Amino acid sequence: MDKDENRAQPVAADRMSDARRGHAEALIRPWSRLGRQLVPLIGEGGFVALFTRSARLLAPPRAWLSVDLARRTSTLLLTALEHDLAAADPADAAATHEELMGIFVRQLGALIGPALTTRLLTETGADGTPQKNQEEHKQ
Amino acid sequence: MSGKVTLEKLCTGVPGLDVLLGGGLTEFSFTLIAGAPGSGKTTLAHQIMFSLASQQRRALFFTVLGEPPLKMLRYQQQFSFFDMDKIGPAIRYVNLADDLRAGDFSGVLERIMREVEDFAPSLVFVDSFRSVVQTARSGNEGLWDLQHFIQELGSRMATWQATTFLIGEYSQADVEANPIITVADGMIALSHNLDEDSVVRKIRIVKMRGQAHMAGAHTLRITDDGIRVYPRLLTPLREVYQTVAADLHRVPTGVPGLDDLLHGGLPLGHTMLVSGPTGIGKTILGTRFLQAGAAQGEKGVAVFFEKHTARLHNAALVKLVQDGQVTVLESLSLSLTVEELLDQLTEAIERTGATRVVIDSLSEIGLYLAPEFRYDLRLSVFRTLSLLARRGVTALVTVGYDDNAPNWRFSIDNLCFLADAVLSMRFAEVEGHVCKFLTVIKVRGTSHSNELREYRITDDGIEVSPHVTNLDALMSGYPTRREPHK
Repeated sequence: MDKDENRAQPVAADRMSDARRGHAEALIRPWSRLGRQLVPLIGEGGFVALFTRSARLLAPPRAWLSVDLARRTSTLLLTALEHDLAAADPADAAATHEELMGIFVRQLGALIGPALTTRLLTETGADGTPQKNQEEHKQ
Repeated sequence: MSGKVTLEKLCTGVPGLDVLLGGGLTEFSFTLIAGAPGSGKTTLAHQIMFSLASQQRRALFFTVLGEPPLKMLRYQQQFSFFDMDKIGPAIRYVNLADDLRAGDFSGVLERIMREVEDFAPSLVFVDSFRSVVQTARSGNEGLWDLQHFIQELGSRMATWQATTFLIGEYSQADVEANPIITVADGMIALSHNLDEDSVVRKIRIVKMRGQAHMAGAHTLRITDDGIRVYPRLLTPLREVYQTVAADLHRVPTGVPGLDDLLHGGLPLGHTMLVSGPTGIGKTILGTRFLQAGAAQGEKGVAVFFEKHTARLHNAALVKLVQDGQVTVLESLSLSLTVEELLDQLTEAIERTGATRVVIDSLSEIGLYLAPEFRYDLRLSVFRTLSLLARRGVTALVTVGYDDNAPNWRFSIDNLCFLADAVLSMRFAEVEGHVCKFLTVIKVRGTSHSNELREYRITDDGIEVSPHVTNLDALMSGYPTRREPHK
């Protein structure tokens, strides 16, 4: 093994790590939008409870996905989720994200009904912020 | 032009509430909705919000530490007024629990203002405001904080031209010493009163600045359609005192001999009280009355307060029901309010187009009524008969009474004063037989026979003798044979 080969391994590992981080960032974006939309409505407590429950319902359970009851805010939860997704195999991370999101939406739907769930989730704009319509008010 | 500001009124969308409020809610007012847990505060707030909210008049609903928002949405959407399409463009929910936990009142106030400026609502709700109050510091400092917070909120919302509602779990004693009631323009108090295991919901407008509201406690009901308030008012009769009927239209009672005594039948729209002891034939007369209507193509409604098995043997009634000519109303509730009864009657009359109603009997209705309505049976009956009069239906209402002392009494609780006509049915002992007699005691606005006639109950119904009885002292129960005129 020459010196160049020894140098190439960390570089490749860094590249792979960057790719996984980028992949995790892309996966976490919908969760951030969801959090921005739902937390004002159902509170941090409501969001955290729904997310934690959804993570526990994953089948089969993902050992690499950390569920820590000490995480009491959506920010802490999503930061940990992004970290976990970045550390996982990209294909597994994507599948887990998709399944987790599906369970979360179904859990929300079971509580407030599918129609209102759809209504609330579609309220999120493309950039994740609620639509502003102040200008059409009080004419 | 006076130059005085005009207070615009908002219709609440809660049936009956605008009557109590004196025409509706004053725009930009600051109203406290108070009451014990489960009294309907959140439902009332939601019903008002969904009725008033639109894209041009948006509503912001702040939830605090009371009912979790997820549960509130879960349960409130069961009501028919919950319009999913309004969530988002017209109604936004905001949870303040974290803000309240994190800091002082000023932080909460600033968060409220940020949301208000962002969504620009015309309606603002804070549920439950009691949670906000409970986070106040103890002692005078806390009281001052709270007073300042409420004044600030009230003035900022008024300046923003938002009609504001604070929802809280307050009792009457709470609010009297509470700064909220001083600042609030209006207060709507909800309660549910327990009496002998029956609960009756009530609503009271304690205060409403700038308008003449109705005082007193009024019954409310919560159904799948939300809250409905029943103001303690009678609806006026239409066209009364404007015309005098030249000739009363009379309807057949189903008993020809009785029609003779009534000089052609019961006047249309009258209520006849049929009084007599048990077994005298009151229910049979009621059935004949409905049959007579059905024979003319009229629909009928029968309200029964006797036990169900008694009617299983009434083949004539069963046939009327099976043929769709009569609708039977029966309460399964033993905590019935008069308002529920009137609602059921109104619905049945409107749905079927009924022109005849039988209520059998007022003696047993007390077994079904919640205590406060049973205590004042006369008022309950008065309200029921007033509804029938307003509807213009012709009614036959039965009442029984103690049969151990024959006398000139015609009903319990002086109910006979409430009816347009009174028919008295009596037993009397005659030569070893218990015989039946009837007489018309009164018919308002028209002549009638004053004869006492014997009658028999046969397979064909009630057969009234065509002649006046030849017995005297019948009403005493111990008659004597009248001597023939010489």
